[in-house]
Amino acid sequence: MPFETLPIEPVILSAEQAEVMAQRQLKKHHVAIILLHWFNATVWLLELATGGALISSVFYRFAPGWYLEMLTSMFGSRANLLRFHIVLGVVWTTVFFVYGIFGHRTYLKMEILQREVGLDADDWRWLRVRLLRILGKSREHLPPQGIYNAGQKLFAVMIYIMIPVIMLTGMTMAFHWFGPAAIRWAIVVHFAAVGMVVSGLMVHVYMGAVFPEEKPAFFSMITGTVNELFAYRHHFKWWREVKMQEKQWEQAWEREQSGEPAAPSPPAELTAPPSPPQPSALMRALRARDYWPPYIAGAGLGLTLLATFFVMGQGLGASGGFTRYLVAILSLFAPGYTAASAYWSNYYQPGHSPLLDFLVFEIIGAAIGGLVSGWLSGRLKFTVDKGPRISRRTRYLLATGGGVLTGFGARLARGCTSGLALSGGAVLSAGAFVFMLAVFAAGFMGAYFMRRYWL
Amino acid sequence: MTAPFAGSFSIPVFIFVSLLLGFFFGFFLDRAGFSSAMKLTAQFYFRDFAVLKVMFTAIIVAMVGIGYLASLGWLDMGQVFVPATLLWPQLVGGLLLGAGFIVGGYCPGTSVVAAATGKLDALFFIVGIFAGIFLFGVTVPGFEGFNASGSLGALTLPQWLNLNTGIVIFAVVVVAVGAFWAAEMSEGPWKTFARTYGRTVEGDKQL
Repeated sequence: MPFETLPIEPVILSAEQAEVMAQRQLKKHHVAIILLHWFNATVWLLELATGGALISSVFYRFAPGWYLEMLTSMFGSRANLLRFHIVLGVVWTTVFFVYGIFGHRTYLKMEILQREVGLDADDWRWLRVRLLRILGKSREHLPPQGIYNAGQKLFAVMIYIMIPVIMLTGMTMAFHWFGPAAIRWAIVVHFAAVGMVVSGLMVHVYMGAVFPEEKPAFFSMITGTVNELFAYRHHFKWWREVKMQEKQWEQAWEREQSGEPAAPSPPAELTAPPSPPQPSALMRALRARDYWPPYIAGAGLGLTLLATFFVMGQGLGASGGFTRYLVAILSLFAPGYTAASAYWSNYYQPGHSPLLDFLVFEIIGAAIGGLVSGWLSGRLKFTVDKGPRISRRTRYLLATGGGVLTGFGARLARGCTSGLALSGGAVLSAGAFVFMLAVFAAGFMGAYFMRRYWL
Repeated sequence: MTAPFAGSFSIPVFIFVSLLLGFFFGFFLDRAGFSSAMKLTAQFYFRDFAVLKVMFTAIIVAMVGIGYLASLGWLDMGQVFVPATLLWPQLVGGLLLGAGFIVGGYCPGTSVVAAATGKLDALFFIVGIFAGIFLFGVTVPGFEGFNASGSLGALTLPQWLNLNTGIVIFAVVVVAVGAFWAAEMSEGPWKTFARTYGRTVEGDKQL
């Protein structure tokens, strides 16, 4: 513990104190906020890119003509481009509403009103001093700041005013609400509001991604934590709050250990800072170390499968994607052979990439989805999944051999567990049920011979 | 305009949608625990029927959903891909895949998710899959006759059994629920459910 008693004002740290503090991490952002932030960032990037290309009026147009043409041709037509812009905007609005409705206590009250936009006296002083320092008129120290500094809070205030404006004007234009006069106004207001956010965004992105001193703040939006030293130097009031809480927990724990009855404490609201909110049920489920109950995970998988059929007209799969990757590699080394081969040519015609297929990208998506799921529940780790009685080498050999059998079998059956059993089963393909029975039969029979390796 | 929409997508949209659907595919596979070979194979030792439960829950949900969307006229079943039925290759292929499953511990889709979460053995499995597919591609001219045998086209269960689609859907649901019940009985009723929801998450407490 670098401090005996917590300082009220920032004090100069000794080298070892600083060292200890640089090693320790404090949790700054909840994973729900991190996800929302990057979702928001992605949406803004896409909406700005498409929105810029949608402005064809000479009054407002700022993107060069070639950019308009490029995006229009990328999406096929201007109507498609507009459709994409609107759909993404609606998704964006929906996500914010979901957060607002289901997490209004956590996000609206705690996160936004208290931490992000509540400017106090120190904040106003900070703004004045910051401005004077930039102009070279003052050498005064910056007053201590909470979890977000006053500059960040000003940006947040502007954002939270503009976001509903952008949503409302966007919806007005997209769905022709309130009549033609309102739509004309909506165009101007939509554009002006976005312009204001973009001017703030430039500073925000510069500070976050480029400005060296704020590097930890940038990484905290990925890991959720900042080191204590950074918190101490840049967000002293928040640091003190966290430390006070830690002290209270420690004392409570010590009391419990020594068996003393808890001392009568003053009313909680006088001493304790607002207790951290309980994570919502959804967040608990996302962060759960345990696997989900099979019926819940299965329902999620089923809805994904349903959406895939609805949107793509085919089901999920895996081995077909593997085949296309293999054909792509073969066609690189032996294009003549691949095109002439009776089997590979099913997937390869010169001039057409074998990789332009749903399954090819779906597999990449699946890897990312698995990675994110594993990361959320803290399950990412380099391991070898094997029975207790076999060596790693044996496991690798068996895995390779099993892979060969699986690859061969999947091609013979025209699909694997996902492509044929799952997807075919959902559309009641007769062959899918035959295949399923065969897989389970071979699995249960083989299990007897493999028991030494798994149990 | 009725679904599916894939034909009207431009290439970037197509890629984006494919990645997104794949994302949820991988996400739920990992949530179900299918990124672990031990969990997957436990099914064949009657210890954990997650594979059966997840797979049939997914089939029921998608099957009933597709049935509804089609009957409402929102989904054009004429444009939905129904895998072809080739009895003998699919029977033998299923046996081979099942054998590969219990020897190697994964199937193609789960091996991708397992590799993504750091299972090194899954990487070997993936290498094996590529080898197996390659082997099939170069040897298939030798057994072209068998490879095409028992071909019945894009046959569905209702056509095969000459029954109404709704009745078949209902029958599949009944069979699946029966299988769930049998699996729960052999595992101890609702053990997994209570285990997951009976306690809070340690990860949040540590931070």
